[in-house]
Amino acid sequence: MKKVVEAKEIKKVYGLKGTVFPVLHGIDLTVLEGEFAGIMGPSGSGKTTLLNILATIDQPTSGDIKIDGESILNMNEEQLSAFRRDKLGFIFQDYNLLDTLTVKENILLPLAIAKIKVWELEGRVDEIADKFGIRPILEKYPYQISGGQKQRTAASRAIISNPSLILADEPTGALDSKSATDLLESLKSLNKQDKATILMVTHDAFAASYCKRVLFIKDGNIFTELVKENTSRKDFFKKLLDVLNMLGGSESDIICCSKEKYKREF
Amino acid sequence: MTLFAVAKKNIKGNFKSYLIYFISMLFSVVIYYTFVSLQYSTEIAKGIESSQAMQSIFMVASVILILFVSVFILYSNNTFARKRKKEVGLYSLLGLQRKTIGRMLFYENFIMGTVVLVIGIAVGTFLSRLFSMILIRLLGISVDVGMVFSLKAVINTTIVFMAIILFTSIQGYRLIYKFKLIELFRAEQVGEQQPKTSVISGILAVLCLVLGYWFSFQRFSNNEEVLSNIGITLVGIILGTILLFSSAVVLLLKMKKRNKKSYYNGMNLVTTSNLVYRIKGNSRMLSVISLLSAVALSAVTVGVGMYYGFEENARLATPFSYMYISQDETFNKSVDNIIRGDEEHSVVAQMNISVAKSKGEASSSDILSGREANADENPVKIISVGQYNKIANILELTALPSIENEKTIAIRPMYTDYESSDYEGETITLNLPKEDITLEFVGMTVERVINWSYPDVMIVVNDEAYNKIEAQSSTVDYVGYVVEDQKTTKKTTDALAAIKMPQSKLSTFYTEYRLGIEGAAFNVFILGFLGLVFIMATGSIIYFKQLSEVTSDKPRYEILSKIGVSNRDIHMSILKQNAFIFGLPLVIGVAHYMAIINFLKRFFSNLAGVNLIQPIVLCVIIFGFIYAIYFGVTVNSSTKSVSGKSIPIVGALVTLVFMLMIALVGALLWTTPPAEKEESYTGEKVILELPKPTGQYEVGTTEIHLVDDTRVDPWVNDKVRELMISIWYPAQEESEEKALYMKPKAAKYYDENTVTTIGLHPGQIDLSGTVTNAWLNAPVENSDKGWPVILYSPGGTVPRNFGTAVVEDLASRGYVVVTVDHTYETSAVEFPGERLETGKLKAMNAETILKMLDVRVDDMRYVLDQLAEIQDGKNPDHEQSELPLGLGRALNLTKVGIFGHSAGGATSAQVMYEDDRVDAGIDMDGTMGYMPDYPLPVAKYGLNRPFMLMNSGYNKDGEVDSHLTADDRNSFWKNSTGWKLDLAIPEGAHYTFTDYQILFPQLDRKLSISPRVIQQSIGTAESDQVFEAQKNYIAAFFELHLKDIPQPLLDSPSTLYPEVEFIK
Ligand SMILES: Nc1ncnc2c1ncn2[C@@H]1O[C@H](COP(=O)(O)OP(=O)(O)OP(=O)(O)O)[C@@H](O)[C@H]1O
Ligand SMILES: [Mg+2]
Repeated sequence: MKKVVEAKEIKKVYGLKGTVFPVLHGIDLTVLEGEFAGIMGPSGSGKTTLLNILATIDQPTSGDIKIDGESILNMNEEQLSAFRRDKLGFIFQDYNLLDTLTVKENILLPLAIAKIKVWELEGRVDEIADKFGIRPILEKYPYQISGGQKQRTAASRAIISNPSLILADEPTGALDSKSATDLLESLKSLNKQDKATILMVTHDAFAASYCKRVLFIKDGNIFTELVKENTSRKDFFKKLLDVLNMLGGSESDIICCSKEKYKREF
Repeated sequence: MTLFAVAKKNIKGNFKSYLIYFISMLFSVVIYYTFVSLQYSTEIAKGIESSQAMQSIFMVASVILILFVSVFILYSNNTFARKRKKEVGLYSLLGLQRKTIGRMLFYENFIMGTVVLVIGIAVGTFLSRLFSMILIRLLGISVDVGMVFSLKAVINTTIVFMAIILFTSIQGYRLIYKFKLIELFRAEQVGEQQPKTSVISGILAVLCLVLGYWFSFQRFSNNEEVLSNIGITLVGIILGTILLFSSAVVLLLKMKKRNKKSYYNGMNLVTTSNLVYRIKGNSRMLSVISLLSAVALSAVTVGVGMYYGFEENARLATPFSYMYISQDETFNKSVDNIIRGDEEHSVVAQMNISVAKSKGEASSSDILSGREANADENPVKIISVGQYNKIANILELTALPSIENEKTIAIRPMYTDYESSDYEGETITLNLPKEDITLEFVGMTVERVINWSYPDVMIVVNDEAYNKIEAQSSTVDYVGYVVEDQKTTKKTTDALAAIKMPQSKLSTFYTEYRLGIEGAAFNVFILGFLGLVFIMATGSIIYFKQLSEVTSDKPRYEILSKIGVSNRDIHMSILKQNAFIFGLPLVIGVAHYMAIINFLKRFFSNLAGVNLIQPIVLCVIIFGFIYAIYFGVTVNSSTKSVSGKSIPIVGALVTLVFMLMIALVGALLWTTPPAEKEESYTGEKVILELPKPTGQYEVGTTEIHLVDDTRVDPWVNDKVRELMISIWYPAQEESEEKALYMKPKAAKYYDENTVTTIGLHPGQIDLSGTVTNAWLNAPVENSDKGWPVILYSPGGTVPRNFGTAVVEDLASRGYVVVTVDHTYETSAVEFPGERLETGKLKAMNAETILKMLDVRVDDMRYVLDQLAEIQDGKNPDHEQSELPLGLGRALNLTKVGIFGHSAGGATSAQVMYEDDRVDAGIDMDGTMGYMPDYPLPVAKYGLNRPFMLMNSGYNKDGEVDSHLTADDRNSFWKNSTGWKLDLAIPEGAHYTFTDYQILFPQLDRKLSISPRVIQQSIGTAESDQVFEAQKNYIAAFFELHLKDIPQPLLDSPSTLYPEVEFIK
């Protein structure tokens, strides 16, 4: 299989006025084409940081990343933004919607930038809006909608251009279970039908159970990795919970909630 | 840590956001200081002849500047304050008392203000040198300007800005009380609301603009119309602009949004939505910028246009550096010697030009008016096309095409804006001794080939026709010289003036050029300076606004970058947004400017006939350049603040344009011919001579200083009214000395200020050495009943001295004549103790003029009261100087007359209307009121006692000025029941009725004066003849009405004085 993203020895240090603050301690990570991988780990463990680095939004302090086999060190700004524009869909943890644009405009922005024809573009927006149930709010501005609606808008924007690599940072964090399931299902279908490669950060074991492989990060290192292989999603979910328990109590409340969710869902 | 220290730390910490505010303050200080220090510059004042005028122009300009600067600072302060709301909110959240925070903000503002002031003055010191150099270049004088540092300017600037800083500091203090905590936090978060728009207000905007523009193109014929037109134009444009930006532009953007195809195309989405999002906050700014740009452009264009028009007029009026009509051999030779003896201005070309002169009749009086026909026996000048083209070749003018037989091309008369089309279908018939030749006009040329003289009717015919005309008419041979550097030929001009003969009509380019150059230079400088400040300030306002916006836009661009928009596209979007914000007001401002300039062109008489295309293009280009620099800098700073990088090509372009500007200014500075060294006049001073009085008595005179304790001075308000009067009377015998024409201090003032307005230099005329024919304080000649008394009131701002010739003549015929200066209206009055009181009048509007006339009437009646006191043996002189022996006895106050020139004439009529003691009066060329709306009561109701009108010249429509053509005198005439007479001297001019009538020709004989000045002041008639006539008619009038001696002269026109017409 082709390696979509290959990260080697990624280190990230934030320097805050003289005191250095290491976040990532040398992470090796390979994402293969068509993979649906998950990343879990305690809050502040560096998940978002890692995702940003993989998305070329942030630069690692040291280490190298290869995208489709080419090192980003050799790419210029133009090429990097072309990669983000043409290949990448990013669902941000903090949504990153433009407050000057309506929901609809936010969603179609990637298509507009890619200069897709108007007739094609509007059809795609309607389609995706229906899928995520945000049709009624299409003409609203971000400051007029709720957090969950924002998250669905952000997700819509990330996947509207059928990107070959989707990075999702807690895409279900602000969603009710119905919406969360819808989103996860669409990610799953993108992965299956469109062969999109997906890397998803989540605190939610239920969401993570959609992945084929889940990496656990702790204190800036890859702590362990779980592969779903042929286990059912229910069993995989249980395994995930075990690892999370092992990782430490800090996540207990989330797991607890997830358990409840699990009770309802399965 | 004290609050003060915290404040200091804050400034350091917030340096970046402070910087913008800091720079805008600095900019204001620098500009203001530069300006004020120019105003106080003694070097410049020394180099300038009419320094008084300069001071007042600078005064007005600095008031405008200060208003503008305060608004500018307040604006930037507001923008800045909004940025800091959040910070203030944080402080209060941390538990700092509002009072403490307020004090802190106050200190911050204050520290910064002080620093700005110091740096501003330092920078201003350098800049003011540059600006004074520009001014001096424009004036064409040579003064060494060192670094201009004037304490007065520093103090002035400090006071003004301390006041502004204090005000803004207090505002900063109040800021925290005005807002609620939650608002302070949300200050930057609340999205600017999408503006609501209505199609109606969009349409209204367009309607307003159309209305405003339309009225700016309307013709106006009187003051009323000027006011209403300019009012409608301004209101239309201002309202239209505001509506345009608050609705029409938003509408336009929304329409753009609706066009999905382009809206959903790439970054258009972001660019347009950003503009819509901002437009509400920006619309006010954009309207202001548009209007300011229009004002700035108009100001600069008017200034440049006047300067340009003045140079152009000088060139047209005197195409040759020197020109005269060929005389005898010796004269021609000596002229040639003088011109060729001037090595600094070598002769480039010399030409003999023969011009035929003929009587004629034109199909339109615009081409040859009755007035022009009267002014010269042969008013039409004819030149052959061959001759014309030869000159055109030498002067580098465009040649004329060949002309058919019986056709002719007109040369445009000076000071008109005739066009070729005005001549279409018109003809001129030359009345030659043997035949009449009728020629049809086939065109007109602007370029003139003979130095100007009146009458100004010139036509070009083909050589064959010319020969035919020449054979049977008189010809005049002109000799013209072209020399190098003709702007600096002062010495030669003076030398030529010294030998000139009146019939040689010698004229020089230099004389014409220097006439009014100061006014033109000041206009262009001040208007240019103000325009520049306005432009720079508008550019800065956009810059600050855009920069503060881009700071809050930064997160948006970061998001865009995250989803794969390249820096290049982001930069392009920023560029486009800025292009819109800069471009829109530029386009609309230029459109407004075109409308305004169209109006102003007809409003300012100095712009009449000036081809403004060149100045307009120049101004728009310079304006565009400056704007482009601001645009580039703004785009650069914005992109830098967003991505840390700037668009390389924009940076390079800005540098390029900036260099170009510098080069342009440099070129302008260094290519204008170096100013000549201004040596003070060393030639012989012209001594003026007044004509000998014609009556039988010697004349005596005395001066009296009157102080009217009962009247607060209406012009200065903080003291009682003081007047200087002179009494002229028949003298028994000579005294020790003759009285001076003008007292020394006053003479100095007029030499420095008034003489320059006719194009002469201070020191050329010996004003203080000029004496009258009157014996100072001589004893008064006895008379049984006493002498009739005549009061004299001079024209507006004119001193009483300029009426001396006629006054002395009357006194010599047996009258006591009392001349009165109207203090603070008269340009300068000298009181005892060498105290000079100068004119305090501001704008000459209806209010001022009516008040002026009111004050004058009071002055004259008060003087009459004081004469009664003198008759009673009292001495009203404030210093109690001894009165001439027998003065009291000599007054016959039962026979009182009054006369005056211009405003003094109107005064005379109104005094008679109000005061029965006056029996008869004369108005010499004075409008009775402020027409058309404010006629004086005397014009409305007339008089029942003898009154004579004397008028000169023609009105705008070419009719002889008289009670038949002037509304005020018409009404006066109809309502007057007493003895009345209306005399006109059509070929005279307004100042015919002053000593100018006899003094100007004396000056013209010895100095180089522009023929235009003479024509405009005293007309074209033979000057001694006109003086004789007016003197005798005035005397006859008073002899008849104050002495009851019959005067046949007043019955019908006299062959002795053909220039005087009786208007019935
Ligand atoms: N710009 C920054 N400067 C300094 N420190 C940072 C910066 N961004 C993140 N950090 C620190 O790096 C660490 C990792 O942050 P990151 O956002 O990657 O965590 P996370 O795993 O995504 O947490 P969460 O699950 O809460 O989203 C945190 O301790 C955070 O404080
Ligand atoms: Mg995170």
